[in-house]
Amino acid sequence: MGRRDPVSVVIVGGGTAGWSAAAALARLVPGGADIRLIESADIGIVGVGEATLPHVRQFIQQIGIDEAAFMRATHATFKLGIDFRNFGRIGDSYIHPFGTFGRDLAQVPFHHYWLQRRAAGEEADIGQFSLAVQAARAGRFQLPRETDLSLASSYGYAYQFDAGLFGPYLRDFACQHGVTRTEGRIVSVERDAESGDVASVTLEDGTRFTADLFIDCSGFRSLLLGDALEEPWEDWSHWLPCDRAVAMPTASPAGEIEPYTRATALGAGWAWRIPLQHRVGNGYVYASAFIDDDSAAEGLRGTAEGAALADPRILRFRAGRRRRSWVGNVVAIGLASGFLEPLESTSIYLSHMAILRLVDLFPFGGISPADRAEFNRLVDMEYDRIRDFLILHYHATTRDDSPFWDHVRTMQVPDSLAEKLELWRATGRVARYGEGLFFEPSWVAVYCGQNVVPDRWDARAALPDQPVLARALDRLKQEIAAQVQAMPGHRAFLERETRRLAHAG
Amino acid sequence: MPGSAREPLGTIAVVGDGPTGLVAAIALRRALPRCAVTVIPTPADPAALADWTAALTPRSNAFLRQMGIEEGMLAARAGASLRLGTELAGWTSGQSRAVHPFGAAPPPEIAATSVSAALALADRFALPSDDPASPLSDIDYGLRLNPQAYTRALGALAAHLGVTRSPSGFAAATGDTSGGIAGLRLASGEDVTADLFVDCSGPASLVAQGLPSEPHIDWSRILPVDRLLIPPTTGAPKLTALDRITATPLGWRGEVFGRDGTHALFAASIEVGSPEAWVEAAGFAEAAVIPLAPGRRDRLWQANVICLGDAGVRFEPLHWLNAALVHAQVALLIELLPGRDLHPLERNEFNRRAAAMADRARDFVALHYHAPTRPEGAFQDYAAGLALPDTLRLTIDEFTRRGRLPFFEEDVLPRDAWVFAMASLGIAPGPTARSVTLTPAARTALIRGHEARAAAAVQSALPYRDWLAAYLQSAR
Ligand SMILES: Cc1cc2nc3c(=O)[nH]c(=O)nc-3n(C[C@H](O)[C@H](O)[C@H](O)COP(=O)(O)OP(=O)(O)OC[C@H]3O[C@@H](n4cnc5c(N)ncnc54)[C@H](O)[C@@H]3O)c2cc1C
Repeated sequence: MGRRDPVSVVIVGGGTAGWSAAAALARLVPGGADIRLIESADIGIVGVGEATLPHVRQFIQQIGIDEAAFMRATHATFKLGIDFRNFGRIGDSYIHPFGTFGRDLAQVPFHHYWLQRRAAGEEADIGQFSLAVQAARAGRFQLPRETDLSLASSYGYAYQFDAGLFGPYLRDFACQHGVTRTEGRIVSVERDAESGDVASVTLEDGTRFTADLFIDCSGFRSLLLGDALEEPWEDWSHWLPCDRAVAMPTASPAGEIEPYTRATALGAGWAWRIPLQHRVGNGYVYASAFIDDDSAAEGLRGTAEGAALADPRILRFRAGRRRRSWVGNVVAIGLASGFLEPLESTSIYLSHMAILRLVDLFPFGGISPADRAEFNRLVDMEYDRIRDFLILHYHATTRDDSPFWDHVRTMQVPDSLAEKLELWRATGRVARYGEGLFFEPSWVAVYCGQNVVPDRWDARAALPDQPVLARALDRLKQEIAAQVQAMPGHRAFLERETRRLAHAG
Repeated sequence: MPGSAREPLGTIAVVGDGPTGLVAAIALRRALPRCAVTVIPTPADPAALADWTAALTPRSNAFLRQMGIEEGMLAARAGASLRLGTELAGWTSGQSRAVHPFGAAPPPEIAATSVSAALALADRFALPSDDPASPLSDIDYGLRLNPQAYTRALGALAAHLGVTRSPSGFAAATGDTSGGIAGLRLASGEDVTADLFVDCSGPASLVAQGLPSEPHIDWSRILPVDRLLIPPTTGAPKLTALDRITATPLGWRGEVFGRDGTHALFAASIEVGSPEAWVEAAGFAEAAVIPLAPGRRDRLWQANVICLGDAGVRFEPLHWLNAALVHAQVALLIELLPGRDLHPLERNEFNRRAAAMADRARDFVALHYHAPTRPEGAFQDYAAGLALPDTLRLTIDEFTRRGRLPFFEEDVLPRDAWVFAMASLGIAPGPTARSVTLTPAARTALIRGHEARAAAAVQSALPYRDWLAAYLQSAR
C-alpha cells in the first residue's frame, strides 16, 4: 500500500452536493486527492432542500463536523419524522417516524399484534406505540440513547436546516481542509477525442482546468454527464407526475417548534412545511399537467401559516435519473444525476450515499470499468427502491377529489411495488432487504397510515391470550407516554445548549 | 373490513429424523405450540451432509439458543466442545499454514493476527465478552458436536416439546392435482396428510420427488467436489481450539477435533484420481465413497413442500457450512411462518432469500479454489479451471482492487469471515482511502494497539484443555 500520487479532482458546482463532496473527499481521502471546486454565483444554487434523514448525522460525524456548530450555522432544528396529512384520505394524519413500532414478540414483528388488537376494535393508531411519533406529536425532543434495546434507543433523528446556509458552511469547512475554490462560469467542456472522457472545462475568462476525475454537481443542468456526455435520461414522471414546486418562506410562529416536517396533500400534489430556528420553509410540489403556476402559488399561500418573508419562487424538475451516474471519468452527484421529489427528504441522502460510495471506490491508480459498474449498480438500487416507496404514498389512497388523485390512485405501479403491496395485503409482511434506505418500520408506517390494512397477518398474533396481549399493549403505551412526558419541549431542548443557536448572545 | 390473523398451520409433517429434520421440528413446534408436528423417519443417509457435519459456525449459537436448544445441554449430552476456527494447511502452497478464525478481523489497514487467531495459536480459550472495550469482544466460537449424540439429544428435546415421532418410516409421497403433495404413505401402510411438508430426507429428497419436476441448478462447474470418503470410525480425540482442512494433490481432508474423537472426511472429484488413490491420499485405512451432486433446487419451497438441508442444497462441507445454512433457512422459515393458506408471494419471498443464502455459501466455498497461488496438484489444477460465479468474481475483484467487500443480501457468512478467508488464501486487499492516507505513525499506532489487544486477550485466557475441563464440569 503506502502513499500514492494524489488523484486530481474537479468538482463542478457548489450547491449542497458539490460542497458535501468536496468536504468528504478532503476529509476522507486526505492527501489522496487534489480537489478544486468551481461554482458560479451568477447561476446560483437551487436553494431548497431543508429536510433530511438520520443518515446526514453519520455523514457530518464521519467528516468530523461538530453537531452544535453545524446546527448553529444552518439554523437547524431536530426532526423526528414526517407528518403526512390528507394522503390516504382527506382528514387523515400519520407520522412516518425515524423509529420503530412496539417490540417484537416471539420473533413476530409487533405490527402483527397491533393488527390483531385493531381487528378486535382497539388500537386504531399504530403511532401510539412509537416513541418517536408520540414525542413528535407532543412537540418534545431528547437525544436517543445509542446502543441498548430500551425505548430510549428506539428512534433516531435528523435535522431541518437552511439550504442556503448548509453549502456555505461546508464550503468554509472544505476550504480549511485544503479544497481550492474557483468562482466562475463554465462555458465549455472539452473531451478527449480518443477515450471520450472529459479532458477539461473552460471558464468564461478562458481559464481551463484539467483533472483525472470530474464530479458533476452542477444541479439540474447536468453540465458534464447530461450536456457533454449525453447520458440518456430515464423518465419516471408517469409514476411521479409532480414536476414543479413553488417555495415561500414564512415567519416562525410563536411557541413550540414542531420537531418534524409536515407534508400535506393538496389537489395536485402536496405541500411541505419545514420549521427552522428562524423561519419556516414552505413549498407546494405539484404536477403542472393538473394545475397552473398561479393557482399553485395561490394554493401555497392558502396553506402556509405566518407572514410571508419572500415572494413565491417556482422551480422546475422531472422525476427520473440519468441511466448511469458514472460514465468515463465523470461521476454525477446530486441533482445532476437524477431527481426524486422531496416527499421523503431523500435527495441529500442520495448525494451523501453516492459520495461515500465514491470514497469507497476512490480511483487510486486509475478508474477501471469495474469501479463505474459497481458505483452505478449501488446508485441504481437506491434510486429504484426509493422510487417504489414514494409511489406508494400516492397510490395508496382513496382520494377521488381531483384528476391528479384519480390519476395516481388508478395508475399502474411498477411490478416491484405491486408485489410488495400484494404480499403485505395477503400476509402482513414486508419484503426484506438488508440494503437500501427504507426498512420494515417505514413501510409499516406508510401502509398503516394510509389505510392499507392487510386482509391476513401472522397466525401467531392470535396465539397469546388476548386480554394479556391487550394489557401488554396498554403498558407499552403508558411507558411511552411517561417517557414523552419526561422529555423537554423541542424549543427548550434546542435552547438548552446555546452553542446550537443561531441567534444566541 | 378488519381482516384477521391467518388460520395457523394445523399439521406439519417433517420427513427425515436427522438433525436437520429435528431442528426444523423443534423450531416449528416452538413457534406453533398447538400445531401437530410429526417427524417421519427416513433411512439414515451418509450423503446427508447437513446432518452429519460435526461442526457449526458462530451464527448457529444464537439460533440454537433462540430455539431453546441450550449449549449446556449440548455440552452435557451431545459431546459439544468449542472451536475458534479452522486451520488451512497447504492451500496456497504445499507447506502453507493459515488460520481462519471466527470473530472480528483486525483493522483493515493493517495485516495482523486477529484476537481469535492469537488465542488459537496460543492454544487458549475464553468466552467472548459483550463489552466492546474488552479484547475478548473480538472473539467468537463455533460448536463441535457428536452427530449421533446430537441427534439423540434433539430427538429427546423434540419429544419433550410434544413433537410426534412416527413409529413407521417413510414409504412414498403422492402428488395432488395442483402441483403439491396430497399425502405420504408410511411403511406400515398408513397415510399421512399435512398442511405443510418439510423435506429433510437428505439428497434423496423423498417428498419433493412426488412434486412435478423442478429445475435443478447444477454447481458441478463451480464446485469441484463430487465424491466424499468417510471412514467407518472416528480417530482419536484431540483437545484443541482449531479444526483443520488440508489440501492434497487429490482433494482435501477435513478433520473436526471433537472431544469424542476426530471426525475426518476426504473430498475429491471424479475427474482426478481413483477411489484407491483417494483413500491413500486421505490417509484412511478404508472408507466408503459417497457421491455428491453439488447444486440446489431452483425453488426450495414449492407448493406445500419446503426442502431443507441436502434435500434442497448440496455442496462440499468445506468449513462445515452445511448445517449453518440449514439453521439460517429454518430461522427464515420461522420468520416467514405461513398460515394454512400458503401464499405464492410468501413462497417467493422465502425462495428469494433462501436461495441468496445458499448461493453465498457456495461462493464462499468456491473462493477457496481461486487463491492467487496454489499448491501443485491435479485436484487444484482442475478446481482452479472451474467457473467463477459473477457474484464471487465481483467480490474478489472489489476486494483486490479497492479493498472492499460488496454487500450481498442474506450472506450466511459475516463480513469478517470473508476478510479472514481472503487473508488465509493470500488474497491481499487493494488500497482504500483509509489505507492510502494513513500516516506511518498512525499505522504503527494501529498495529501496536491491536497487538496489545491480542496480547491482553491471550493473557486473560486459559489453556484450551483447562478451560474445556472447567466448562464441562459446569455443564454437568
Ligand atoms: C422543490 C425541491 C425541494 C427539495 N426538498 C428537499 C428536501 O427537503 N430534502 C432533501 O434532501 N432534498 C431536497 N431537495 C433536493 C435538494 O435541493 C438537492 O438535493 C440539493 O440542494 C443538492 O443540489 P445540487 O447541489 O445538486 O444542485 P444546485 O444546488 O443546483 O447546485 C448546482 C451548482 O452548480 C453550479 N453550476 C451550474 N452550472 C454551472 C456552470 N456552467 N458553471 C459553473 N457552475 C455551475 C451552480 O452555481 C451551483 O453552485 C429538494 C429539491 C427541490 C427542487
